Amino acid sequence: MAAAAAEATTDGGGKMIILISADGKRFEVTEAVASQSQLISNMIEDDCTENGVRLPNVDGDILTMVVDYCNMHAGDAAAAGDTMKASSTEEELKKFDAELVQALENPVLFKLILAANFLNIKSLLDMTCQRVADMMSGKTPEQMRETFSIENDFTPEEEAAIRQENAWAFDD
Amino acid sequence: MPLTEKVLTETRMPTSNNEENAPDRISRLPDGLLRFVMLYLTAQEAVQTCVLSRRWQNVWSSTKWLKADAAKFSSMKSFKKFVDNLLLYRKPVPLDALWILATCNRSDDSLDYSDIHPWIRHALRSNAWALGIMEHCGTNLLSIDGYPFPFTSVYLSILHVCHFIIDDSFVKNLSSCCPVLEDLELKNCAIIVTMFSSTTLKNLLINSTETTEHFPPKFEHLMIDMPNLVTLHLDEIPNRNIQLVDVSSVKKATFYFFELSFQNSAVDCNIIPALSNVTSLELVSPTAYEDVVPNVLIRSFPRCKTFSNLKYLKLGEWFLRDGCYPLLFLLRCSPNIEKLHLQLNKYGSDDYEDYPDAAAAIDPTRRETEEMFNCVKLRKITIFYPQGDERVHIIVRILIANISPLPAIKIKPIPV
Repeated sequence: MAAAAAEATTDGGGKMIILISADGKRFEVTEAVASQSQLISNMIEDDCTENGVRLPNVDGDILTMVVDYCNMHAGDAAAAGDTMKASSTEEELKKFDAELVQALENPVLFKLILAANFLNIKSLLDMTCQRVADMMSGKTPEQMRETFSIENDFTPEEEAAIRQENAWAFDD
Repeated sequence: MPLTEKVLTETRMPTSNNEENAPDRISRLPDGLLRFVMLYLTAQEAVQTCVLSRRWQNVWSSTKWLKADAAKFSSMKSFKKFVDNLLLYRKPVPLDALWILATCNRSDDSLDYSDIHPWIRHALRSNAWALGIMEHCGTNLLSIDGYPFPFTSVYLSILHVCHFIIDDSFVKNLSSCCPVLEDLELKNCAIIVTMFSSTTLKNLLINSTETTEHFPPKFEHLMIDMPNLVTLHLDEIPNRNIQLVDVSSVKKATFYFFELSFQNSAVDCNIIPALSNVTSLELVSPTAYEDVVPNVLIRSFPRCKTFSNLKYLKLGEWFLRDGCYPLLFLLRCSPNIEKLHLQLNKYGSDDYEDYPDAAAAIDPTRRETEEMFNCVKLRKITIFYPQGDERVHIIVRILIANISPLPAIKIKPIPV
């Protein structure tokens, strides 16, 4: 995945661009794959990907996951590149997504959310945020705190007052 | 997404080692992303995050997407109190969507329209573009009678209601008061409409209440005139003879017929001829052994042109009539069909065993053999049947006798 040169090369007709993570790891991907990020898609349109795209907010291990995700989801968008493997079937994609999302835990999950948000990859952001919601759903506030290690910085009196104020939301 | 731009500056990964190792990462997400997570929670779960910590105290109050679900409330009364307060205490920011699910597992009470009306008005005054009364229980349907038409909005693009009384004045008002409405679902509703026209709707789904006392007292027409409609789904609408006026843009059409679909077998019905541009067509009926549905549909065949865009066809029991005549006719008219599903069911299977002349009704020997034809692009035929239904063999025999070369045929038993 790491490329020797930052210079854009062509590979079987699909134009390649280089993504550079915060810790300097390089990833060579087709434009079609990278364009799933709205941020990079805009940069490609503005012709400013020549010297590689530096992503100072995204670590290499997280960018690896993002690139895997984008490669998997490139689908028809990648048809331009002849060397791309045949686009994945819907079932394969579902399975890939389900496995990816199930495996996500604190802190990688939140790093991936921030990366998806920064790169503006809507489907990945939807999927990861839904995973967080699934982890919260059906839990009492106490259980939510435990799941995500949220420190309760209210005094007992303050917390009681807030519960009192919002008693309508607690149905007890 | 504007959300992304707003939070860009806040998304820098923290560099100090201390923060990097702090376990509570969720609380460090920017507000915009926390609210994005809340989009997948019920409104109650979202509001309850206010007690987690100071960081969370007010995040919920600016969410733009509210799903109020009564399922886990102890009573409908406490649910009503919840939604009233939810809308009262949220910040006065625009809303994207409000979804109301008013079915409670633990109580039999129900909401009246008077309870829901202020919620609808709040949502639409807050510029919501999606609104749904998704579930409602109780003996009475929701009626807007006596209220000014509630769904007036220049933003509303998606409207899903259930258990409402839908009459001509309702749909007329929808057309004139919702200039950008594209997606409409009327579920479990009393459908007493006779004329429904819209130039904005792209997706329409209608299904009827199953409570007989809410059926319209007598048969009338239901005319549908929607030149920009793309998907149309009509499901067992009682006592309405459906007439399609202009639905020429429809790509995907789904019809479920039943014994109250047509007044009698002399009704003139143009459903199939009017859908000449569809790519996906589903026509399902519970049994081939009654006269009305198959006869009405078959009688419209001479007016059908070629379905040159049709790729997917699903047919219910009525296709069996006269040695699968409807099936063979529609296949001949569909040169580009790729996938065919045939759905047999328990009613039809029982009727076949009970009716003395049931076999004759679907017996191919009654028809003169026509020339074989081929469906070049048809890759697979799937027959869904109740276990033990012998009609599968007759269907396969008819397919073999008429289609050449024969595509793969898969038979799949359905649970009885």
